[in-house]
Amino acid sequence: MKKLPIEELAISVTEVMYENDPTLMDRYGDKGRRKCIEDNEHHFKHLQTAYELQNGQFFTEYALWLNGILSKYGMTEELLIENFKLIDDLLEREYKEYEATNDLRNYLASAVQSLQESALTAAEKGRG
Amino acid sequence: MNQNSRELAGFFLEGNIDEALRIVRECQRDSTSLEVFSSLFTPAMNYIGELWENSEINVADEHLATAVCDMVLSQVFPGYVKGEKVTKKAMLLCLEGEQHYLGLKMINRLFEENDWATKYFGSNLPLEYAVSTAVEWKPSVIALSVSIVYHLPKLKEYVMELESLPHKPLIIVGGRLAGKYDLRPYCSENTLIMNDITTIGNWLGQYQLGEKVNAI
Repeated sequence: MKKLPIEELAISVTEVMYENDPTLMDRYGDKGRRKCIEDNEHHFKHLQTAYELQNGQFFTEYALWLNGILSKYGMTEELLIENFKLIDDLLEREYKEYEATNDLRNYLASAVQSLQESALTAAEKGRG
Repeated sequence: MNQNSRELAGFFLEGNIDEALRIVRECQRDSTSLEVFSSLFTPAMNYIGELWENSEINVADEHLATAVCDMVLSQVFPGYVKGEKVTKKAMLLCLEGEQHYLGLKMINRLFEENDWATKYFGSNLPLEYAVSTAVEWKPSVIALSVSIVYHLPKLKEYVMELESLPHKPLIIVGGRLAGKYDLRPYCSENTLIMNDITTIGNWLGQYQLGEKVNAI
């Protein structure tokens, strides 16, 4: 498989995130922006690995693990879901012809669904 | 996790080699190497991994702990004096890019204690160099270690190429991922997948026993 231009993609997604929500720059500054690029590089690396292994489970488990860490810092799953949706938009818009795009978008959709299900389970436990 | 492992992890993180050595030597008095590895070192390093995953320690802490653990292993288990019976040969290596070598270092010791001559390559050995050494040295076993998902796509290539060498070595796959996922799709039916250090320790014991039985 042709390797994804991971650095380029991570920068593009981060730019859109910061354009969509200008308060991010005020809240987290340039250091936060650099971390966001780094995080997105990890998202793309895990997507690529899942594709090479032809197994979306690897990406879903990564997403759930990462969400567990983010939740310790008071972040909700919405942030990660929004990030994955922006990756999905970028793949659909600019990488339509790329051989892996369909699979990668399926992995993203499965991960989003698992994140939503796990949030629901956590909320039910909280109510119970 | 037992109290000793937790304490050991604390000394690794502090960089306190003397205290780490004290705990390990105390435990070593009435335990086998396999027991020291499986009930002391492995839980301690897994715990450090968890602390890192949960952002409770940073990369510098984790690297210090790894360096101290490595030094302690080298001091407590120095060069093994091999007996006259050494006829079996094993190569032990981490896949390209893989930096997590401590488990493999412990497994190398177990091979040595079971009368194997070994070549232990530590972290990150690209396939072409593994192949050229294996062609020349002809080990009957090649043990591969993989701990990070990013490196898993290379596993199949390593297994297929090494298993197809003319002298047909047995390939053993281990490392953190072997205990976490089903790695069979990335191996052949001949590959041995070992989930943890106890499994491989027991396999080495059985192998040794089989040899003795055959010799009678």
